[in-house]
Amino acid sequence: MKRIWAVIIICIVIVALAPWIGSTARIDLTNFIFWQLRAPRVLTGIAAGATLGLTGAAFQALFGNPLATPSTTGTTAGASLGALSALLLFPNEGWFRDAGVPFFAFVGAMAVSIPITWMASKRNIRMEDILLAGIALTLASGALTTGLQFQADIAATYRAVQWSLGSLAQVGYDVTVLLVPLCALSCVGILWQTRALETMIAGEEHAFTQGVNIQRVRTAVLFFGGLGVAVTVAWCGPIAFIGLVVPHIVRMMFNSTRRILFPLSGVVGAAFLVLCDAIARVIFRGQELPVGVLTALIGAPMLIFLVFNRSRR
Amino acid sequence: MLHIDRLQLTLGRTVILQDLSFQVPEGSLFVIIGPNGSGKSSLLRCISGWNQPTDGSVLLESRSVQLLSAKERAACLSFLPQRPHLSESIPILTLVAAARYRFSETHAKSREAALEFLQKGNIGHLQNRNWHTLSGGEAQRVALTCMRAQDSKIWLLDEPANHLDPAVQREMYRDIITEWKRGRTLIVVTHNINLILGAVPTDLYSKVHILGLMSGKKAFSLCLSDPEITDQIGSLYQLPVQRVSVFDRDHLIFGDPS
Repeated sequence: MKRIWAVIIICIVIVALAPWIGSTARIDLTNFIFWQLRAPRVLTGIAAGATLGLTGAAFQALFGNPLATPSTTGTTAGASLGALSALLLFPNEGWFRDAGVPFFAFVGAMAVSIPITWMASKRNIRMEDILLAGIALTLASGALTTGLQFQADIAATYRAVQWSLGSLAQVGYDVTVLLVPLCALSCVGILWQTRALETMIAGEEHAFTQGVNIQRVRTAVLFFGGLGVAVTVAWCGPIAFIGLVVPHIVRMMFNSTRRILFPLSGVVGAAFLVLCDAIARVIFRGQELPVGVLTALIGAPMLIFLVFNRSRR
Repeated sequence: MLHIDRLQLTLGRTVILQDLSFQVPEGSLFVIIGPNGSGKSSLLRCISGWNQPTDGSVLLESRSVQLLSAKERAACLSFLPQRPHLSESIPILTLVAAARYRFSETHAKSREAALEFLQKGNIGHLQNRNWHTLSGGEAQRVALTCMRAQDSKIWLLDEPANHLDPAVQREMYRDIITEWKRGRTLIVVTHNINLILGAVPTDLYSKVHILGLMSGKKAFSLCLSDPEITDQIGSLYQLPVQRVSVFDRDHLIFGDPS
């Protein structure tokens, strides 16, 4: 119990210090930088990181597969396709494109995640088949995206690549007011299924005989998870690795129940993303590193280290 | 009363069960035996509601199990697999507490109940151990504790003593039979009729029902005390069989096929 609180306090400290990290340029600008740039950015990071960490943990539990990620069901690939379509549709810079890219990305993500949820809500469909359908949809959206990029001009392709690296950069609170409530809804929706998912640890059939409504759990987790990931990916871009790595890190630190794993994956995910974003701001002078690059670069070795450490024991 | 009525199950093009009808009165010990692939496990899955019958029905107090709500079903039926497979290793207390899902009680209450059942089963010391560190025998005793924690009227047991050493097998069956004597309805799938013969007191043989299953059809339906049972089991497995008495107990010994 003490260790859990220690981790939570460390995460809170990281999040609280994050807005102060980075160049402050001129003193009279500090106030603007802090309140209009850093604070919304940290808030977005908390919402996105928590959603990705929690969804990853919940999907790993639902699929009974340690390789499952928030992107497993094809949500991210659908979002990428939507974002690129918007960049092609609105080639000129302006309000249309600024609002259109995330909106189309969101539509693309939901266009993939709703049919998947609907399929999983059917009886007699195995979770393995949902996994395969998700991979198939990912590959299909990927092929369409590549096809569109082939047609697009250099500028649109460049912007698409830029989008696909993920970023929390923003000015003001327009995104935050949208992202925070939707991510909160998604997290609450998933956490509401914690008990049922804990019962699923010995497989769906076992949970079924213990009184779990399998169809309802699948629908709720895939819908709320899909919604949270769609919102996150649409407005922050695909941020790699958090949904895969964070639940594993938490699981290895606390070999414990899903009641602790789920909320803690959210907390650690939030702190991890905010920290990576802060490092991304300062690592190269004058130029920001895309946050997706950092989450993967830090997350992957961390996971490998933990896995080997565990195997040695 | 569990009523199986003209049950039919077809998976793809394979007919698994056909035209199967029988009744399991409350408080009975109902044993299903049959060769591999005779449809025993599928029958158990139809009763649990996991498999949807192609035709016919499984009725619990004249209501179809397919129409019961998830928690109503869990109050009537629970299932013990040959060996539960967990995707993550979790502490035993958590696992047993999770079996209380069907009760609308707080998590703290569930844990309290789980601890009580673990202590009653003399495995309170396992509460903080992780699932993957358990031996086969310990794991099956924990699984049995989960069944007690779920506390359903009817227990479905699929080869509960598979992969266990002879001592633990006996202990397992002794525990199961104790539950039966306390009034629980048991439906047991097994190949090992000798374990039943050994665990049930001889004077209760007449209360044990044996259903022989062959290619998804009923081959015979007899009492354990019926003298005919030896030959019926022999012809079920198509092996010569002799009933012998060793250690004051009847055993079926199979010979080589002639």
